[in-house]
Amino acid sequence: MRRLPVYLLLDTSGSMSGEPIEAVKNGVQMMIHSLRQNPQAIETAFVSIITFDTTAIQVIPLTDLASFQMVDLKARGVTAMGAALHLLADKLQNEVASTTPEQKGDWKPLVFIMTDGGPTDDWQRGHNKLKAVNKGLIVGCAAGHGADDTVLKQITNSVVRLDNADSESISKFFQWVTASISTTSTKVEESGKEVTGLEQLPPPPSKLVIIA
Amino acid sequence: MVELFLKQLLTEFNIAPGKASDNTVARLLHNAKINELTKSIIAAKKQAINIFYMYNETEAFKDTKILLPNAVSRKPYEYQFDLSCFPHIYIKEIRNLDKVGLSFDPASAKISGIPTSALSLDLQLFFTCGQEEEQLEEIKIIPFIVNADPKDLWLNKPSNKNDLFAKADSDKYAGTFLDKHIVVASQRGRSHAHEGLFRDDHFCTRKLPLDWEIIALADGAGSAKFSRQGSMMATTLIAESFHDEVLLTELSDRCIDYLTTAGTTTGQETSSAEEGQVLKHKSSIINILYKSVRSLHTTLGDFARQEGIQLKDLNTTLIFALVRKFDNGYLMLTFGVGDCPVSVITSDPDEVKLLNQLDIGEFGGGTRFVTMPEIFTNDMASRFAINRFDNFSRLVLMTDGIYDPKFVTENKLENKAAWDTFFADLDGQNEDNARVDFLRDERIEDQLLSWLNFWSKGNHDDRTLAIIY
Repeated sequence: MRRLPVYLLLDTSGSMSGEPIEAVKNGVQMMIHSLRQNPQAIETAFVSIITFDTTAIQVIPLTDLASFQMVDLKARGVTAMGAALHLLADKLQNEVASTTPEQKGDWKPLVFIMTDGGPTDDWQRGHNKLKAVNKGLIVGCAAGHGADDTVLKQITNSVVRLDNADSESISKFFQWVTASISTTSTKVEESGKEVTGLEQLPPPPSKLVIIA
Repeated sequence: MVELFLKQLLTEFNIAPGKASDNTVARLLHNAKINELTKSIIAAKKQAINIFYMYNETEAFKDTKILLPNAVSRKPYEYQFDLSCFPHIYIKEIRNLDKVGLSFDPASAKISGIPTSALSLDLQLFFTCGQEEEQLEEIKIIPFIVNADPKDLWLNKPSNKNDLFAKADSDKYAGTFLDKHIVVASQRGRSHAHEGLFRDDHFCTRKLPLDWEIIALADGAGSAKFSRQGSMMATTLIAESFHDEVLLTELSDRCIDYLTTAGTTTGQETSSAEEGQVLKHKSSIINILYKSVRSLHTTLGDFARQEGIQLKDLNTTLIFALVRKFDNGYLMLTFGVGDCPVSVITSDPDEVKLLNQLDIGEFGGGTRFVTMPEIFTNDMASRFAINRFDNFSRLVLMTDGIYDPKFVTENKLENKAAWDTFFADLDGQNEDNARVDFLRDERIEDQLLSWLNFWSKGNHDDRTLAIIY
């Protein structure tokens, strides 16, 4: 079975503490709950969560929606986004099956990177590794005023911005991520084609502005 | 015991050790009252610490994260609590479990049963710690998820019969084909049924003059708005285009020429002159077929213009096999554009042959459609094939809705073992025990249509399968 791998790279640095981190946890929960009602998504979408603060950790390996169980997230430390990109590259290499004459590999992955700040480590090293590995669509989300989108724009052509990192905006972002995963899982199943750009995803809600 | 107790007591009351106090302690060691008090105080302490342990174990148990694996509706579920770190904890009851149809056995600390409904809920574990009067009773909350069986999530909405180019959600046919039998079934995929969309696949089979017969299958592109019409027109029009005695007389003559020339050269050294002759007859046959495909393409273009739609709105693949039995065997003239296979299985020798070359998305730069002008280029000739078989056991045409789940990769279509598995599956070796009985001809088209409902995770495309046997 060809899986649709979805990686969520979530900023859990200190500035996310309080309302934002709670909204992120809630957002992921709601997303999983909603995707579980979609027959195409529950069969094809597999979700992994990588958090980055002072270090990057894959808190949930690539898991099917039916067995997915959310873990607690704590906000602390700085923003090691480079380490997260590096870890993502590793996981894309190890967790995503490629197509061979004997088997059909997974669909191209969907990656969402959400940050409310800017990288505090050598992000280019991680980015270079990722560039060599990634074949899927990466969507960057700069959440709130403090978010630095210049780095996100160098990582991907698909960047959206949230004006505020409050719970309402974050919840809207996850609703859009949910709709995007739904759309993609339907699309791959029906036409055998992956999405390649933001324009093929559902239109973002008004809180979310496409900036690249 | 008494001495230690007294010494600790003196320290507690800041009584400095000395000769007098030592003598007093020595004397009191045999005092009955002091002995009794010591015993009861030690007992009281023991009791207090036991109470502490009990509360402590309770708190620790409440704090421990217990992850119950998610359940799936209608799938047997079992979970064994591991209480090895909590020797005094006893789970007496789990409330809310009955809401999803599961039960809990306190003696074995095991949840089991078959969940009846999909639900997310908080389980309330009523547990005790310790015995008798010191027993504590508390509640621990554990979130629990029962997923829906994906099969239950698929809706089956009828397509709108009043829509433009409406077509039936399924179709089937059984009959004779030359001196053999044919059965065909076509079923709308779950992904289309879920949204009330039309079946995009289509098939058409016709008995033609001069003992020719044709079977055509088409898979309308999922991305094209009216591909349901495209596939219908492609199969029907191509079949009709051969309903022409003049054309078939010409075709039969060319085929006889071809068979005669090719027949005389088989197994011997062929001269280049003979080869040239074979090639000439081959190309005149292909030319006849080419004209029909070309004219189909033109008709589709005219139709699109008439309807004020774009030709690509009709995007569809097409495969067909035009077959006739000659004195020296069956001659199969085939054509294919797109990713649907035409395969022949012979029993002597025990072989499988793929008659057309597939346009495969990932390696071939995207699938091709009969609606695309670019297919009519130099390599167009390679889309046609002429094959002669003394006999064959099966001629099979299918859309990717069948081979994606059943063969997984295209190269397995040329693997005899994969075909053996496929025919065993058709013969009932599948989880639904759905069987197509090729030996008894009773409602075989219904059998095939129900077989098409097989369940395969992630594979819910339209399915069309034609078998000549």
